[in-house]
Amino acid sequence: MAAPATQQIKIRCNDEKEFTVDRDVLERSVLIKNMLEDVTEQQDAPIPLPNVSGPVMAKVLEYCTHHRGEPLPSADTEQSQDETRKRTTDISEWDQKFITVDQEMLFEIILAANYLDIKSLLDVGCKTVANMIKGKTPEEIRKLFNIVNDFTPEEEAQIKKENEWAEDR
Amino acid sequence: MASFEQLPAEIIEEILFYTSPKGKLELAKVCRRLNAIALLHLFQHSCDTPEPTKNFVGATECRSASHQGSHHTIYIQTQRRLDAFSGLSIAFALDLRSIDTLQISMSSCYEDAHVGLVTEDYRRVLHIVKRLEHVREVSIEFNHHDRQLMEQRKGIMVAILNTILEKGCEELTLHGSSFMPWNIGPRGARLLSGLQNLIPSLGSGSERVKAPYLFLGDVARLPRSTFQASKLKNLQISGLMFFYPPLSYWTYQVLSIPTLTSFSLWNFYIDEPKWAIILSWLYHPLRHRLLDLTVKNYFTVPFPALINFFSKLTNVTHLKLTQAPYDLDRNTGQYNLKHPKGTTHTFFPNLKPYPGQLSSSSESTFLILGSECQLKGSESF
Repeated sequence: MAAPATQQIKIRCNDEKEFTVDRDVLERSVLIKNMLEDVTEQQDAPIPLPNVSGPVMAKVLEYCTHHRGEPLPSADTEQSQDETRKRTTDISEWDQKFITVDQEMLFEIILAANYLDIKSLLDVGCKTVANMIKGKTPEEIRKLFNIVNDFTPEEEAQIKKENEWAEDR
Repeated sequence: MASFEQLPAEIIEEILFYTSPKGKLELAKVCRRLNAIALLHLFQHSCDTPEPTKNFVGATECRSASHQGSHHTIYIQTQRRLDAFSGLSIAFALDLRSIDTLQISMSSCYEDAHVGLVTEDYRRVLHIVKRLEHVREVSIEFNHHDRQLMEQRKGIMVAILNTILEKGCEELTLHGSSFMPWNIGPRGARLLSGLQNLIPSLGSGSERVKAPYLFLGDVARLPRSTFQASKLKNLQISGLMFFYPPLSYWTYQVLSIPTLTSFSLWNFYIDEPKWAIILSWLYHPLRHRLLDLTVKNYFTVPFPALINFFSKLTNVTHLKLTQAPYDLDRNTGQYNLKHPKGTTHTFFPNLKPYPGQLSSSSESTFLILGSECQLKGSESF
């Protein structure tokens, strides 16, 4: 059976940037896949993606194109994966290279993957952040992500006290 | 532009899946928001620890903290060994003030080497309980059969129960089974010998008696004033129990709680002499307050004094007796009670079945050899 001619889909990002992409590449996004399934008749209007910017979408499409053809995790396997997931933070070589971006882009990719519902990309992003945090002290984490310490001195003393006994053993 | 702080909680939770318990604890110290997310995650997923650290502090898992409406619950379960950074240690860091329901399960078979560690767990539970502001409902399950452990944790268990009652607990469920001799102390012995005068079958009033069911021991060791001051409305005790004269003493304590209206005993092995213990309740001055009494799965056959006892519980509107399964051997007249595990024990070879129906009031249904007995709002039957 001959594969049907690859359908081209147009998407439009929040900065008006448009992409025309093969349907199977886009369908790595469960959000877009569902959208496409809901629409029966051919439509030429681009799919609006108000939560994603052009540069981020380009990155996401790079990922989707590289991984095209790989089986999509079904809802079932996701469930069982969740239970058996060994929480390994290993990332494949290509993904590693792909995700070597500045912090802002990393978080943008994570947010986009979450919005577009691309589980494998979300995992890559989250593992990367987890690896960044690994072995760091709270102060180092604050510095790394530019987070303001909003604990009162009393609260900090309290937390320290409460954790003391756990830490010395 | 996106920053870490803009990530929604669900994504931070995803990241936490790839973070070790220690890493989660560090994140919890970064800022308030991460504190809340990371600690909750630790509660919920501490059993998924990917890399057990070398610090095994015996068997502590806080399974989850759920916040539903105004009822806030913590579950503390200690069934496997986890590292020091998961489980109960986290409960220390959480704000426990809004928790009003507590479920603790500490059932496991530990090797002797871990006795100290388990004792440590009991201490932690005590610390957590102390930090609660008010607790309404508590359910505790402790199954331990290690003698050394039972000895060690005895005082701590009393302190846990004491604290729970002080914090205003209204509903208390105790479940578990364990065996060990228990020292009821001079007061217990005095009370016991007092009862013994009333009910000879109670046995001797020695201070050191076998109290296989430790809760009873622990509860009975609580200061009387704690009971008097408690707000306990509903008490349920279940578990396998064998022979325990202190029950009578303990029951006295329980019945003296001014607010108690409902009292359940489940899964008892009770034979005739032990019913005598329950009969002792009927001498208690406060028995009239009790409205709801359940004795479930007791292994016994009835005898006239028992009927007499129930007739004396004047305010009980719901009395439920559930008989354990038994066979009557028609040839020998013996009752063969079916043991839960399938073996059959023979009790009371000489006892004849009591006439099925006893009634002088149309209200009461009291079929003593049926599977369930009910007595409703009737003073005599």
